[in-house]
Order: sequence, then C-alpha cells, then structure tokens
Amino acid sequence: MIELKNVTKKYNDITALKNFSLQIPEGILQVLLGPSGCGKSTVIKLINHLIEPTSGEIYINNKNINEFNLINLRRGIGYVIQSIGLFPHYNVYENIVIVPRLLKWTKNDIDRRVDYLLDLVGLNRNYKKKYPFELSGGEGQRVGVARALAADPPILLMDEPFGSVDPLNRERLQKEFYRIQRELKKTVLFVTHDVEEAIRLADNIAVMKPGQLASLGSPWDFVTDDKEDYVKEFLGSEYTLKLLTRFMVQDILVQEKIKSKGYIHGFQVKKENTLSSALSLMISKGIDSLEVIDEQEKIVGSITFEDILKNVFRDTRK
Amino acid sequence: MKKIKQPFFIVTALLFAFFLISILRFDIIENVLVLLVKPKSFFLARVSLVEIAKQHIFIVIISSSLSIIIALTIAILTRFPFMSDFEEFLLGLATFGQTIPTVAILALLVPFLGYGFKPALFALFVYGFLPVLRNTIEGFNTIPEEIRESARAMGMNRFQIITRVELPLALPAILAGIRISLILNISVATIGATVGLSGFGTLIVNGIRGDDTIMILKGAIPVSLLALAVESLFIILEKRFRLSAISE
Repeated sequence: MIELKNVTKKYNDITALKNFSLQIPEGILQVLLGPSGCGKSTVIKLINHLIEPTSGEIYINNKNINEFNLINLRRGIGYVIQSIGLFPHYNVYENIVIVPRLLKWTKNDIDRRVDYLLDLVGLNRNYKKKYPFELSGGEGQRVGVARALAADPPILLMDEPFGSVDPLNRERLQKEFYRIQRELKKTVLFVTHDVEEAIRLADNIAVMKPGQLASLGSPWDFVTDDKEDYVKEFLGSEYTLKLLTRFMVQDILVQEKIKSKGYIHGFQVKKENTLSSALSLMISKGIDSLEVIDEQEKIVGSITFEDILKNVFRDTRK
Repeated sequence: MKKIKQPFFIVTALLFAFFLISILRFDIIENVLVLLVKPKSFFLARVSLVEIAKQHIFIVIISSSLSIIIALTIAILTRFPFMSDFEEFLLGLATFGQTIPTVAILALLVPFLGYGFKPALFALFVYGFLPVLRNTIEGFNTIPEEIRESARAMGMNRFQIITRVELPLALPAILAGIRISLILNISVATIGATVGLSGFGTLIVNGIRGDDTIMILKGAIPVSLLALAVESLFIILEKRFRLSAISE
C-alpha cells in the first residue's frame, strides 16, 4: 500500500503540490489523471524519492519512506517513463536485467526471468540482442515495461508510459498492460493526461487540478453529475461514451441468447471488440442489434442496444 | 553493433606503415627528394630518425597520459554534488586556455622552468589536458536527463551511474577529446624544439637554420604521418563506440 499524507512540494516559489493526500491499496491500479503541469509526475517522483517533499509524509506498507534504505526502496519499485529511458549502450537483454544484476541474481535466474518477461510483454525472444535504436516506439516501451517488472517489484510507477506511441500501438499496449496487470496484481500508480487511457486501465481514478486532488473514484463514479465543474470539463461530455471502451462485447454477452430470426440484421461484431466499437457499428448501420462471433468466426450470441443500456451503467443510475 | 567500413582500417594501416617507413628507411624518400630539391649539408642529416621518433613519441605519451588521467579524474569528480559548482568554471577555463597560442605558453614558461624537457612537458600537459577535460564534461552533459533519472530510479548508486551509464555514454566524446589532445601534443612537441626539446622539431628547426630543405622534410614528413595515423585510428575507435552508444 502506498500512502501520501498532506504532501506539499515547492520548487523555489512554485508550489507543484499542495496538501496532497492519496491512498493506493495493494494490487490496485490507481490512475492519476490531469492536464500537463498539474503535478502528476511530481507525485511519482516523490514516491521513489527522486525528489524530497517540502512537507508531509509518504508511507509504503505503513512505513515512512525515509526509513527505507534509498537504494533498496528504488530497487523494489518498477519505474516506467514516457521517454522510456532505455540505456542506448545496452541491448534489450542488458537493459532488462539491470535491477536483477544490481540485486546479484544468478545468471540462470536472470536468463529465465528475461524469457518470461519477453513472453509477458509480447516480444520475440530473439529481440534480446537488439539495441534500443533498432526498436520501434512500441517495442521500446514493451522493453521499458519488462525492465520495470524485471526484479518482480510489488510496486510500479508509470509516468505517461505510452504517451509517445502512435494511437494504434498505444491501444494495443494498453490492452496488453491491462492483461499483465490482471495477471500480476501489482500496486500501480499510472500517470496520464489521456481520459480514455485512464478509463481503459484504472481500478481507481484520481483527477488532479494544478497541485491538488480534484476528485477520486472508480471509473463509474465519474458518470454521475455530482462532480465539480473542473472535473466534468476535464473528463469531457463524452466521458460516458469513452467508458464503453473499457468493456468488451463478451462482458455483457449472454451465451445462449440468440434472438429469433428477423431480429438480427446480419452485422457481426467480434466478442473481444469493445462496446464502443459495437455501438459505432450499430449507429453507422442504423440498427440496434448485432451478431457476436468468436475467434473462429462462429456465431456465439447477440447484443442489442438495450443490453448496453441495461447492463453497463446499471450501478451508476441509482 | 554494425561493422566499420573496411577503407577506414586500410587507410589507418597505410598511414602507420608510411610512418614506419619514413623513420626506418628515410633514404628511400630522400632519393626521391634529392631530385626535387637541392641537397645542402648531407652530414647533418645523418641523425638516427628512429631515435628521434622514440623521443618524440615518448614525451607525447608521458604528457598525454598525465593529462588524460588528471582531466578524466577532475571531470568525473564534477559528477559528484560537492564538485558540481566547479563544472562551469572548468569548462570556461578549458575553452579559454586553448585560445592561448602554444608558442606563447612555451615562451612564457622559459623564464620559470628554463630550456629543455621540463617547460615543454608542462606546456604539452596543459594543452593535452584541456580538450580531454572539456570533451568529457560536455560528453556527460549531453546524456539525456531521463537516462540518468532511470538509472537513479532503478536504484543505482552514484558510482554505478558513473561507471555503467555516464562513462560508456560519454565515451565517444571522451575519445574525441583524447584524439584532439594527442594530435595537439604531437604538434606542440614539434614546436617544443624551440625551447630545446628533442624530437622531429629539432630536425625542422635545424633545417631552417641551415637552410636545408631535406632536413626540414625529414622532420616534417614523419611527424605529419604520425599525426594523421593517430587521428585516423581514433576516428575508427570513436565510430566503433558511437554506433552502440547513440540511438539515432
């Protein structure tokens, strides 16, 4: 668990963070969402002690971070940044094994770990010998994630990790990271200014305004109208639509429910597509139901506009 | 790691070969030269070129090693918080120092250190020291901040950051500094003859005094070849390390 208590950080005259408090329970992916320059990165750097708070305390597992050995603290926290920060003079293998080597793991353990991590982040094992300049942005970022996970740290800090990747690859990376996080259940603090990214990944979202926390809650909590104007404005009026990207068709699919003939219009959607793409298809074709197919293109069910209305937001419409 | 193109190796090897030929068998070159210029005093030219080359290379190696070791140490120390304030001062000093002409430094030193080996060694040391210092500091400064930050965030200590990240990444710049330092020293050691340092410069100075073109060339040709050979060797080294070090 990570806990920030009334943390203030000043750079000379500028207050980057003012009385900031946040709790991140274990195994939770906490997104810190806000415009650039609102102090998001400052929060991250305070946790791995790259910078010192002006006042306030930071706890990890109920222990003040000042009581940790600085070097050991950092080795137990995975860190991914937007510019990746891969060492250009190290190849992929050497970049991934930096922390395990610092921790003096055996060669055997390291090799096994690298193979596991490359599989996990979806990179071919023959990438080990490649240098960062030979990688695309997306590949580099995968290596960055693998490096952060190398020594199996319980905590991950990610500062706009997919920010410099093109939209198509970003979406792919988000999906894969979501899967990885479901598998590993790390305590993650994920900083982004991209609302959709926050929706896709977050267990909890903390919306920030300059230097301060504006609102905190699960992605569903932000559908309601009781938020302050700043938060509503930042999330945008399409927030609810964007929330549909978090769901896959299969999430609301009832297996046996194939409606009688004539009801289905013959348009199909894959069950691992997002609900927002299903909705787009309905709107563009002017229909209110779709057949759902699986990987083998076999029809496994159907969804209707009504299903979306009824199922997705049922908890938020009280 | 990409391969370095072969012509670089061939050129370097040829330059070293020419240098060796020029000091071991200058008579071959001399036979050609006598056809072009009128020989003057043959007896003066009967000095062992190998001996002169040894002396010249010896002082360059001594002074360059000294300047490289001391400059690197100081540059590395600027990476530590207690020295970081000096960085700008040192950088300014290094740039400023190199604008003073060699001959001026040599002339200024004579009243204090006298003629011969000592003032020349000191001047060579100063000249070799500055480019290494400047390039090393600048090499460190060109490393992107996020790389240093990643290193810190992964739990590397100051020493590990310097040895595993900063030095390897600054290596091409450091090598360039060493190259400039060596080339400068090879030429300054030649001018050193004016304050009594023995080397290829001795031949040139004596040749000018005796109006002996062949003798001038006997000093000038080998020293030029030596400078060119060292330069091209270091260009290969820099390329070799730059390929793996720069992400572009």
